[in-house]
Amino acid sequence: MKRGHFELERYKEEIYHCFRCGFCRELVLGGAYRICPIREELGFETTYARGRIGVARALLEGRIEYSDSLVERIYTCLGCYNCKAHCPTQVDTPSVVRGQRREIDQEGLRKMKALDEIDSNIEAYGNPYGFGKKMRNQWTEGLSLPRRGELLYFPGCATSYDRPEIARSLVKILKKAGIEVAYLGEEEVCCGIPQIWNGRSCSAKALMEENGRMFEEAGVKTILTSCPDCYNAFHHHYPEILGKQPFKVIHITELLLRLLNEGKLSFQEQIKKRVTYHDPCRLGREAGIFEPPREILRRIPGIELVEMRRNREHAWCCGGGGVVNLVYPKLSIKIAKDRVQEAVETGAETLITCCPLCYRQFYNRAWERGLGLTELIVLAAAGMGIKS
Amino acid sequence: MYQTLVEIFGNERVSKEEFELLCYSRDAGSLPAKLPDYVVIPNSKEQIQRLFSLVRREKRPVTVRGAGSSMCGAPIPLVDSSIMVDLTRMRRILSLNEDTMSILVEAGITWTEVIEYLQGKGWELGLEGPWSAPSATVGGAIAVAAICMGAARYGGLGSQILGLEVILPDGEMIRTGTGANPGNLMVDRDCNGIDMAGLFIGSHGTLGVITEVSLKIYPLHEAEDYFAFSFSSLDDAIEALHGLATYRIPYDTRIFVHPVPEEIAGRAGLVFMLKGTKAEVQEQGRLGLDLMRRAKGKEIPEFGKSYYQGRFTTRAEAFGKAGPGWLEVAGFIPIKRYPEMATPILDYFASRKAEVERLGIRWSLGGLLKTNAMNIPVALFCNESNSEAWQKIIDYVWELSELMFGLGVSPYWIGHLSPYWKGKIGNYYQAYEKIKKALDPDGILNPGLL
Repeated sequence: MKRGHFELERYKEEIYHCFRCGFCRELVLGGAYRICPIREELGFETTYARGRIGVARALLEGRIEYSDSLVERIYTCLGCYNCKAHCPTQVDTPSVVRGQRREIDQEGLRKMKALDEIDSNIEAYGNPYGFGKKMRNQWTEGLSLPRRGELLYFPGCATSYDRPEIARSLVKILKKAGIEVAYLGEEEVCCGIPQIWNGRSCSAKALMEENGRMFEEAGVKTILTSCPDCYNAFHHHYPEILGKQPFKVIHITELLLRLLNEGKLSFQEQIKKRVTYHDPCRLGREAGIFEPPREILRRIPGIELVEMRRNREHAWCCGGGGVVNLVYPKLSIKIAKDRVQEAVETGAETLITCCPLCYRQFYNRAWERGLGLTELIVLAAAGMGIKS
Repeated sequence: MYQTLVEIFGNERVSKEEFELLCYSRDAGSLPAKLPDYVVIPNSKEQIQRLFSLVRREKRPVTVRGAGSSMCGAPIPLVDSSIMVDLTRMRRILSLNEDTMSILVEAGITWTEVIEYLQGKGWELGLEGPWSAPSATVGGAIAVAAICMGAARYGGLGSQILGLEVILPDGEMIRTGTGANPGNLMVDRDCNGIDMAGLFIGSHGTLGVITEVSLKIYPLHEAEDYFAFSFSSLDDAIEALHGLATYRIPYDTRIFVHPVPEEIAGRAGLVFMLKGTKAEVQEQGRLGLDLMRRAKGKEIPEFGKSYYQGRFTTRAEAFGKAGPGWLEVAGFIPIKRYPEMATPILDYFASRKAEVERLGIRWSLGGLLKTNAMNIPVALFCNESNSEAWQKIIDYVWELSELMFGLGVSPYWIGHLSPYWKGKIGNYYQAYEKIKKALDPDGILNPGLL
């Protein structure tokens, strides 16, 4: 049974706030060079924010209904927030798109195998990859982390299964500073971000409730994340979905910089490298954390930081956001290639990021171009003489 | 038809999806339009020529669109069964010709992309494009003869155009001015007897598709300065503005009559911007200040700076916040006649005060200097979720057109209002129609406009 546009109704004000100036199409101004990676590839009005809002409005006004092709179009949004960052009236198109995806899912209109697989993996294993729970905490070997504590590290699925060296480096850095973090171990479940972008809000809510319950039991006051997606899950979406925010959320780059400033940590190793830093959309435009990663890099002896043409709020997406990497892998890879090209143009030897998703997007593309690729926390650990 | 379009443009550059067509039936304005049947996105002139061959055979109307950031309906269809041509992928910078002080660009490029590119090379454009310069295309602005930032110094867009390349409805491609000689570059318009470029400036895409544009460039300016003044009478403000025009002082200047920004207050506000060498800007500033004082203007520090430094964004922010539904009636008048035109417009809104307030309609009356003339724009804003308000601002536009024509205003940004103006300015448009018939006998290009 049709339920009407109950989700889009929540964004009605947002939708009617767009005055169709088109700045979200291809603004080239003050450091911005083009706005929407998807529009650059696909071209049509509905592949970028102005058209996406136009579609949302047409749905609300009953002029169109969700069709298979429209559903496909709605799942092409990366949610990179570049449109919102450059919108004269700050229309929050990614939120509207998430609202549309929730309606699509609840009406049973989503026909995307890759996302169905994510749903069933999360349901069965608590992570989108379908890996066993026991594999989740393998990275902790020899680290002996407590289950309870006020400061809890939440590595998330991508880091735990795909980039465990980030988690190991992080814990070892903090141990060096005399900080012990708690960890949920194999009981930790996905932060909910894939489900938020999938449109499966009930699943996202359940995951958040489950993690939230464990945080409470563990006496957690602050959640520390290294994954920008997890950061936003707890910082932004948790209070939005559960209507409460019982803990503080910090990103490792903020904490690390603070510890460096307080003299509790320092770099001793010389790492002679020319590097460029890629701002993950979730950490940069969504969370507003632009400078701490750069400041950390600048403090590593021997590191020369050069900026890409588009940096900070203008940074080009890695192409992996908004589940586009899962639904449209070819499109996603083309965008990653554009970003790697931009990194190559700086003359840097190594591309640095601090997002496991961006890392995965760039992995083969950087290798193909002879460009090094390193995770910021892993590099920082090396600068402190720590082996992950 | 769809299959033939796919053969011309490729599968990924043709759409007939209803949701897509809907989004191509709007510009930034609030005028209703017909849905096109198809949207195509060309990336070559040859594709446009092949399309024209097809539509002539099939008698299909074509609407040409740049950014779709106009408010007059120029890039949205007035008739059924049309094919929408989105030119925004034809956006290359073709050549920077420092020797001829010109830049050759594809028409689908945005103004700010050209500006940013030139800045990096130590050059700049004379005019900086319309209010929507960050999204507006060069070709789209020329098609509606958009008034641009810098109009006080340089006047209309035509003053900056050295040549156009245009594809005519019969598929022929011409280059205007010096560019007509295959052995020459587009460095001047006024040759070969007829200024053919002028025919296409403001033609609303009804006579041909502009594909390339040669624009004048200037060495990057050294200094800018900005001023804002408050006036207790509109007559004084216009006197001051006329003085600025007479002595060719500002790069850009505009007045605010309703609403006058809070920071300025008074009966009317005036802002102007100076551009040039440090010495020029200093001298212009001295002259400008003297004129303002003589006209009893009160200087408002900082406002001019914030207004003009954010000229590519803050104006858009203001328009967006006032709307987002937006329509505008505008036209040109002699500078000194501004107060006599403004008074009946203010009276028009005074008599509708209760209705305007009830429907949450906002409106503005201002003015922009264009060398010898004043542009007098009346903008109407509403929230389109209120259908009554939306319909009302459309009604107001027609009523204001009647009022302003009666006052002697010559229309600008005609778009979908052209049927009204055609009825008023008879033989002017009869001459245009003869040209249209000669160039586009089947009436395929943007039918209904002009």
